[in-house]
Amino acid sequence: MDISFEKLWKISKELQLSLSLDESLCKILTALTAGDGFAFNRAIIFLKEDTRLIPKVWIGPKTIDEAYKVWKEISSQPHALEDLLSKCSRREYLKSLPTISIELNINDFNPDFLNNGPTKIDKSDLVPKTLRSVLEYLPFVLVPLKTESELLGLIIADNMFNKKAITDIDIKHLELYAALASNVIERANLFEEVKKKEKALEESYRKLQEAQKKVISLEKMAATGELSSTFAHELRNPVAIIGGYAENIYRNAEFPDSLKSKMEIILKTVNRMEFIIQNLSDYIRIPQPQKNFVTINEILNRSLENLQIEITKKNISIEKNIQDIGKIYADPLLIEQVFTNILRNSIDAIDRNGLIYINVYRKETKITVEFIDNGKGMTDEVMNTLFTPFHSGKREGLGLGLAVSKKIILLHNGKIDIKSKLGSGTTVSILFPVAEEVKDEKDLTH
Amino acid sequence: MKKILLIEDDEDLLELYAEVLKNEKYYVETASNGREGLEKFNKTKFDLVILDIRMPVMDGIETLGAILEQRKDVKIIINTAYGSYKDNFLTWGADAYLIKSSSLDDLLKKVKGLIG
Repeated sequence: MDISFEKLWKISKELQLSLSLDESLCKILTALTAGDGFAFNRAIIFLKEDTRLIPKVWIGPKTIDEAYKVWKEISSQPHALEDLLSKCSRREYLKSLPTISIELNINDFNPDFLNNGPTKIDKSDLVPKTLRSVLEYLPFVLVPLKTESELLGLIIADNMFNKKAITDIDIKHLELYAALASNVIERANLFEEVKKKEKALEESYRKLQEAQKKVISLEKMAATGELSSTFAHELRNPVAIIGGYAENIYRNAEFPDSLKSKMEIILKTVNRMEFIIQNLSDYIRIPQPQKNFVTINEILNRSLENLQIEITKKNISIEKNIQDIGKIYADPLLIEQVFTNILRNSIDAIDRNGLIYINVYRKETKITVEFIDNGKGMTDEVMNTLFTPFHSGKREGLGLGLAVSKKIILLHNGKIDIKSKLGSGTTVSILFPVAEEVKDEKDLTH
Repeated sequence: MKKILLIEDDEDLLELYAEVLKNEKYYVETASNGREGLEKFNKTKFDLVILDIRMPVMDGIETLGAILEQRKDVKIIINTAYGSYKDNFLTWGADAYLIKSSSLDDLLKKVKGLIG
C-alpha cells in the first residue's frame, strides 16, 4: 500500500471540499479504506469530548464474510476513489454508516501514544480491554488527531481480513494524513459551531419578529377598537331618534300601501344599523356571560325569528334536525347573537332558493351545533382572515361578526370551526361542553 | 296617573319618549340635564325616573346617587348609549338598564314592568 503523493494531494483536495463534520469524518475514513487510497481493511474514528473518546463512524466490513462480499462487489465494478468519496455528501449514505457502542477514555491509553504521531500497536497489553474485544485483531495502527494544542480524537485502522502488514512507510504517510484530517475536523467543528450560532440567532430573530407582529396587531386592534367603540356610541343617539320617530309615525299614522312598504324599509334599515353598532361596541367588551341552563332549540328559534324577513325574502328553506341533547350551560343572549351572526352569513352567501341545514347532536361530552348552507362558499384567502377583526368578505360587512362570535364561544369553553368549499357552501360547527360537565363551575359561582 | 321624569340631554329623544309615554297615559315631565332633573324631582313625587348617563352639567351617575339619597322607593331606568355601564357597580342602584335603541317597545315594556 504505497500511496502516491499525487493521490494524497487528490484526497486532500476532496477533503477540503466538505464543511459538515459528518461528511468530513466519512471522507477521512473512506480515503483510509479505499483500494486506491490507503487500502486499510477497516477503520474507525473517535472524537474527544472532555476526557472521553466517542466512537463516530466505522467503515469497513465487520466480519470476514462481509469482507469477501464487499471485495467481490468492488472488484466486479471498480470504484474510483472520487466516486467513493462523493458518496459521503449524501445524507442517506451518512445515516447508513455504522458505529460501535464502546466508549473510550483518553486515560485508557499510554499518553505517549496520544501525544505522538501514528503508532503501530502489536501487543495486546497496550490496548484498552474494551477496544480489544471489539477489534479482535492485532496489529492495528493508532492515529491521534490533534491541533497544535489539543487532541481532537483518534483513528484506528487495521487489516484484519487480508492480514497485510503495516509498514513504516504507511506510518509516515499516515502522519501526513493525520495532520490533514485534523485540519479538516477542526474546520468542520468551527463550521458547525458557526452554524449552530447562526441558527440560534435566526430563531431568536424569528421570535422577535413574531412578538413584534403580535404587538403591532394588538395595538392596531386596540386602536381601531377604541375608535369604533367611540363611533358606535356617538351613533346610538341619532339612530335611536330616526328609528324611534319612524316607528312612532308608522304606528300612529295611516299610510297608503305604497308608503307603508317604504316606511318598513326605513325601520328595517335602522334595525340593521343598530345591529352594526351593537357589534362594534360588543367587539370591545363582551359582557361577562350570565350563564343558565338553556335549550339550544329555543335560542335557535329566536335567532331564526331575528332573520325571518331575510329568510322569507330569499326563499331559503331551513331544515332542522335536532336531537334531544338536554340543556347547555350558557348565556342565551350571547349565544343567540352567535347563532344570528352565523345564520346571517349563510343567508348572505345564498342568492335565492337556498337551503340551510341546522343539526344539533351530542357525541360523548360535546354538543355540536352545525350550520350547513349551500351558498357560494369561500376562497382560502377569505378563510384565512375569517376570525380577524375588521376583515370582511362582504361589501357591507364590518368584519366583526365572527371575531365576536369566536370570543363568545371561547367564553363558553366551546370551539368554533368553519369549513368551506368555493361554489358549494359552508359548514360552521360550534362545540359546547354538555351541561353536566360544567355543573361544578356553577356550584362555585353560586 | 303614574308620574315619570325623563332626564335626557338630547331634545329630540326627549320629545319622542315624552310623546310615546303620554300616549300610554303616563304623566311625563322632562329635563335636559341632571341638575334640572333633580330640581323637578324635588317638586313632584315621581314613580319612575328614566335617566341618561352622559349629560352636560350633571351626569347620570351623579344624578342617580342624588336621587337615591333622597328617595329609595322611586324606580329608576337607565337608558344610555354605553353598554359598558351595565355591569358597573355605579349603576347598581337602578332597577333596569336599557341600551338606547329605536325600539320603543323595549322602553315601554320596562316601564310597564316597573310601574304598571
